[in-house]
Amino acid sequence: MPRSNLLTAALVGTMLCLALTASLLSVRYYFSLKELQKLQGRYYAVNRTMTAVRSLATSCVRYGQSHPDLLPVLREFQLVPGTNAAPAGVDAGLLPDSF
Amino acid sequence: MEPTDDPNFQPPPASRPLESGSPLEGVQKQLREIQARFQQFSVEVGARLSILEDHAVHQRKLVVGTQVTLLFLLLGICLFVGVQMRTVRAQLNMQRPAMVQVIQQFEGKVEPNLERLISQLQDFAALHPDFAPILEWHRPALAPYFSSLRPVLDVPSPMPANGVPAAP
Repeated sequence: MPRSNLLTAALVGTMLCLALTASLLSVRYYFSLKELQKLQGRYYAVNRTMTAVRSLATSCVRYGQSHPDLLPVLREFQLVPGTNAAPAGVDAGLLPDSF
Repeated sequence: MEPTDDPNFQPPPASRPLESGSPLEGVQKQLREIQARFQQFSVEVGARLSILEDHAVHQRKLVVGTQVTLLFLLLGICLFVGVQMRTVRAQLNMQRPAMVQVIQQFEGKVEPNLERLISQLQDFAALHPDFAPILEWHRPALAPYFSSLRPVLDVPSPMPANGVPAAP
């Protein structure tokens, strides 16, 4: 009888340790997944915005081919090749190469 | 007479046989009947105890078996969650630098210019109504960067294929 009780106690103790480990792993898994989803959501939003910006830039460039009034604006953001340099405070290009 | 499990049980002392017709003969007969009943009762109790002990052993085996099953189940859960967590962590560590770089580049470089570009395009559309449909076409996708204080024009028209509205 004592041997059986010892076996039962050992089994219950092992189960307790495994349950604690599973809980800890679950918590870490939850927070990792949450961080990944948040990052991916932001990344996809940036990609969607960049696609829309590209579309807008293309439309503006096409419009600027028949309406030169828009070209200064487009040149300022280097959407079309221009002769004058970009004004101070404006970064080189609206669309970086990485996009 | 079989030995009983009761430690306090003491068998009655052997009595010498009484003469036939003695008044103690009836008592001795009753005593023998009681002893026989007690022996039968002891045998029955022993058998029942044996059955109960078998049941207890069986139940204990079932409990231990259940515990071992739960143990393996918990082990499986631990392994599964551990593998999942390692996969997610690896994916996170692999994708995070590139994603963070793209997001930071967008927030630090593109967003301010985009706000200024939209603002200037809205100013331009206010002076050139034929440009308004182009800007309106892109408003849903870039709504956070449009200034609501400067409505372009309320002429929602389909976007032309070449991006340039037809001449009136």
